[in-house]
Amino acid sequence: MENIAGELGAGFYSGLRYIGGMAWLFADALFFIFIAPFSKRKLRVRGEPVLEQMVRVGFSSLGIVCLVQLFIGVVIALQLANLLKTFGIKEYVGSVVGLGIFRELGPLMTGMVMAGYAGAAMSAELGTMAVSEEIEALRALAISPVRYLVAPRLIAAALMIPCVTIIGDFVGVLGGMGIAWSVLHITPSLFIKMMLETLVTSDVVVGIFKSWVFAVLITLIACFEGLRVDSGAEGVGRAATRSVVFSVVMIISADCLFAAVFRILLGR
Amino acid sequence: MNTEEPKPIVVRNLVKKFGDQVVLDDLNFHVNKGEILVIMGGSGCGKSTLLRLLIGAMRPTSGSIEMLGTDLTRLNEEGLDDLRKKTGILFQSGALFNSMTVGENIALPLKEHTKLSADVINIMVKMKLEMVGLRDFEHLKPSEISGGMKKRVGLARAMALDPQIMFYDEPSAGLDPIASAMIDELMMDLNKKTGVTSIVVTHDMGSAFKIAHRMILLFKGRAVAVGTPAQIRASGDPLIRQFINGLADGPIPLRVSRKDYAEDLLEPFIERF
Repeated sequence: MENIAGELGAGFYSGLRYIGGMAWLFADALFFIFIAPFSKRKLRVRGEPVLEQMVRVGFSSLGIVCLVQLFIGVVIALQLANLLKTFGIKEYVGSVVGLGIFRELGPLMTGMVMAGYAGAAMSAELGTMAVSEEIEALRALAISPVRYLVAPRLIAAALMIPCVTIIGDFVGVLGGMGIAWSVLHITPSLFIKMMLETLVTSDVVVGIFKSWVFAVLITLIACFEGLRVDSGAEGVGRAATRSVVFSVVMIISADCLFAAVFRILLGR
Repeated sequence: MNTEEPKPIVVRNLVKKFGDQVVLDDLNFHVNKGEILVIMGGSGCGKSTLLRLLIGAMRPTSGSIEMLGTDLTRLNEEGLDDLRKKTGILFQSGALFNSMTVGENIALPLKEHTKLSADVINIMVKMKLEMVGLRDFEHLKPSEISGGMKKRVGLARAMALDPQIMFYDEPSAGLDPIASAMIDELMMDLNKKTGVTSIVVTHDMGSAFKIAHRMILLFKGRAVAVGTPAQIRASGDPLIRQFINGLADGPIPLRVSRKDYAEDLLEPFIERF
């Protein structure tokens, strides 16, 4: 009994330290993004690495995100086709697909794909740099790893992941629309009309906001895991795995929290 | 050496503990301006810890390290960064940034800490590379050059901001005798031409005696010998003799366990009864 309590306590403590460390990293990154450029030292986050990361996070992941979103749209429409037909409200397929994708599944699935695609790459890259003394070399050259490595990734992800999400959302809707047309014989114009009738601006804004939060979560977890690698190839592998698993768990937890909070705030 | 000049590094009563384990035990030494000080010692004697303390990557348990007139143990991260711009370090592996070319590696500190234009930085990169004899390798990635070359590039990068103090972490580790001798030559050459104060941490006796102006022998976290190479070589102390001659037999024990051997073997039985 004593052992279980002790282990629970230790687990709780290490969990707190983990979250504390990540919060510290976030604060540090925010400092370098928003405050340091205006301090007397003018320590700017350089544009070049931000652009490079934007290409890596945003552009190269676009294809896979669109593919996943397309299938999500197809699946929602297919699963609902019979049900909606039974109730005689098959024209509502546009409403369901639009709402489901823009508000919920678009940001969520894009977040998941990004956790695996961008998050794992980031933690493996930083982890490898930590192992080969590169992080220490940066510090020795008086270049803060948070300013040089973490801040550009955070900016790039926070800018690009919402964009990728929006593009993916449209592709997903396109998939749903295709199924609605071919299986339910609902014309695209009716599909879009029904979708626009149901969707309100807040749904889209909430979706974008969520994808932005997911982007920050993914980057922070990936960078935190990467920077704390201290032992060889095994450590790098572990960091990549942990960053993906933690990101996915955090994304879903945050999504659940948002669903509750926005239901209270917005009433939908 | 002129002892009236202000000393770039003065270490006083330095102690570093990890838990109960004392790694550095009341260490006192100084480095004179423009000299090459070699810190020698076997594995686990605290050399690497000392180096990490000197570059501010770690804080001591107690004691002070005065570097270029400021006590670095009291500095915050900003102050340490100011100091780091005036010092350079050559890491054991070279620690080049693998995603950048050789030239970009050397250009990075210049881009980050100076307002020089890209053209001027280009010229400086070429000069630094010429200094270590690798001007033709500017556009290669670190994975495309040999270990010895990596160290030379690392040296060029460390010297990019013309530091007043250079630290070398095991400069000959993992190199063949020729590459190792080349690094030795470079270190001496740089010291002579730029007057950079150098601290070299090594266990390679041959290179230590070749390059050192003065040397310190660390043993169990204490400085057991300080002096010029000639003084150290002439010493009759059995510990020093064992170390510089690389003998297995002597006061430095082969076994490093703190526990009594018999007690260790019998432990499970003692617990049971």
